[in-house]
Amino acid sequence: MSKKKSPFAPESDKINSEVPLENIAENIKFVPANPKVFNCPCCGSAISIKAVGHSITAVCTSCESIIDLQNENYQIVKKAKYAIKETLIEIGARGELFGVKWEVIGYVLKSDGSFYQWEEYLLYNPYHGFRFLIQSQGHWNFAQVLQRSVAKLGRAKISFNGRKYLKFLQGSAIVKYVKGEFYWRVRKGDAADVSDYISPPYMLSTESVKREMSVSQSVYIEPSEVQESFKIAEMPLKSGVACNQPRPFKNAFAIYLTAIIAFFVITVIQCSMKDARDYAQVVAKDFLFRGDGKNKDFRIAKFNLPKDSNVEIKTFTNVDNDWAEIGFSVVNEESGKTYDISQAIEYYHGYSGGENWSEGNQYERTIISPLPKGNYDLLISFDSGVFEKGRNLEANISINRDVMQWGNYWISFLLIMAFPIFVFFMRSGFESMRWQESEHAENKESSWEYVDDVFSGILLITDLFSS
Amino acid sequence: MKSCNCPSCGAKIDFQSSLSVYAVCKYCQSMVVRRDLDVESIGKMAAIPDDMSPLQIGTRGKFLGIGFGIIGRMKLSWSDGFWNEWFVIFDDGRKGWLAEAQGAYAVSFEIDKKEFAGLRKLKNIVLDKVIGSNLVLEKKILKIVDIKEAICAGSQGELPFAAPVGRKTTSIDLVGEDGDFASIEVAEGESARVYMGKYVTWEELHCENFRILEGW
Repeated sequence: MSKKKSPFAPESDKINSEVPLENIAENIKFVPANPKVFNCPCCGSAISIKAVGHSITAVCTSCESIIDLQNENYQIVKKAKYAIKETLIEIGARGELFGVKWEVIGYVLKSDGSFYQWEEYLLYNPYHGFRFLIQSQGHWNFAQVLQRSVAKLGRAKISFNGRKYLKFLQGSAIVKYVKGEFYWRVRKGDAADVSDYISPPYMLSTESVKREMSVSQSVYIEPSEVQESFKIAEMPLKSGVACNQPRPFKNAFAIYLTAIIAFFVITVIQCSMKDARDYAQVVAKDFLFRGDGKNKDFRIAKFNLPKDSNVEIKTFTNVDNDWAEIGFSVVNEESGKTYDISQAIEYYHGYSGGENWSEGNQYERTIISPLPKGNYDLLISFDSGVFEKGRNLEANISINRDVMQWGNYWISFLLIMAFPIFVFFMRSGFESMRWQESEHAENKESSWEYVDDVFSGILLITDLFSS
Repeated sequence: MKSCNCPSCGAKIDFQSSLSVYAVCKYCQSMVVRRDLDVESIGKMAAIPDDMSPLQIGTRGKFLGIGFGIIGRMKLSWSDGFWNEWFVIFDDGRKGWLAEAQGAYAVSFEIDKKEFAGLRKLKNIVLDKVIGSNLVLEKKILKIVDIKEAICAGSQGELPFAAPVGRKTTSIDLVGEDGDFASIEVAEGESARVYMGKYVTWEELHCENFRILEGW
């Protein structure tokens, strides 16, 4: 056994002997853990410490003096010079977030040195430790200090836990106001260098004071979630886009994919319909309407529909710088039911201002939606400007049945595409708003690298294949 | 289990683990050291300052699938707070430590690192490798995140070494990219000890028989 063992490897060669802990525990006097109460060295009011053993700074709830708890005599760090501030969530409030009950034990108001401010609530649970609930411009984040190092901090793009994070900004954080208790030394005016890296809905934030840096990971949470769990009457209104706010339509990839599939499906249906239908010409006839007006009356053509089908009427005329109006009455011989259609044809052209121009054409096409099968009479009447000029009107009329219709196809196509296009523009607009606030606007171009879309898409595809 | 009488007050002291050499008498807070045949008192311990720790001697938990039980505790104090080092014995016989600081938990085992044995050598490390720099331990790149001067604020139960109140330690904390944790501890007048392990969450510990915390 000369091989060196990993320190984590179980020493299986040893006897598996469970330690009889009960015997030790039995004789030790255990007291339930309680908050600790002491008197403020400044004003004498009772101060209750909830995170006993963790908190080293406390702010008196009556006089707002900052007290150093690590010092045996509870030394006053700073006497209060400012009025007590009410906060949205008060110290002592409890609420459940991510399945764990938290108590608000501290509050810090921070500023970047300009008018921009944000609030950090320190949350405590004696089993789970500490978290932060951060409110800025009506947007909320739930944050935890990371107990691990993050590689390549400082670069424009970093990888962490399988996600790409893009650098968003770098600045400073200055403590403007504190109340409650803290596990670190805090006082008004404390400043730290901060930087944020985003991968919505996540964010990595660094905070450094001199050489010591802490990294925390935040996740964006909806204000309604905070409001519900901490029973807040009125929440500050959201303004703008938060740097790690998830884009609207989180399932965009699924929406795009659905549209592509739907497009594919309607195309397949359209093409199969053409195959199934049995397109045929039922009438093809040339008509001559004489300018002398002698045969201007109804012309009759007959056709048969062997099954219910749509009918297409195509008319070509010889109108030239003139107009024609053709009326069709399609009469079912059995039922006598009549379907009236009229086609207006105009064709004008000329040369003016050094240019050839033309308007309209000599052709018209009309589709009558499905007619019942049977024998039909087609009555045609004509009127045209050419008759006034004493000229003949020539027309070629053809009637086809079982015609493939593209209209519905294109309408479906537009309906299918409208929503994904809307989603696409909403999302890119959102992304632009987000990066307006950043000093690294060039990173916007890399925003497709946030894995949320691709990831949810891959999940969707794997779901489809596995089901 | 080996039992003996407290040389100071006469109460019975049980050594649950053969790995424990030191124990604190539950009645008179004397720290006793186990010799081959009897025990010797090496001074009185002050009562441990109270805290809201959910852990206690007798708490059982799990780390990487192996059960452990807490048999001792050392509370350390430094300029910016306190932390607990819980001495644990695993069901497979290994001894380890469960560190509890600011609500974060890390389980670690002592590893053999001769190069850190001498305090003089450690001082070099502290001098050249300050906070933020990397150190390679067991083929893992770890970053120094903390260097603290701590003193023992009290102990309880059984411990593998003597930890009287006021015992001074330099404690260097390191973290890796995958939640790896290491700490180098140099107690005054002793050789450096190197511990390696991982950060764990409260859920991952699957604790049983933990402490009653009023209101929680």
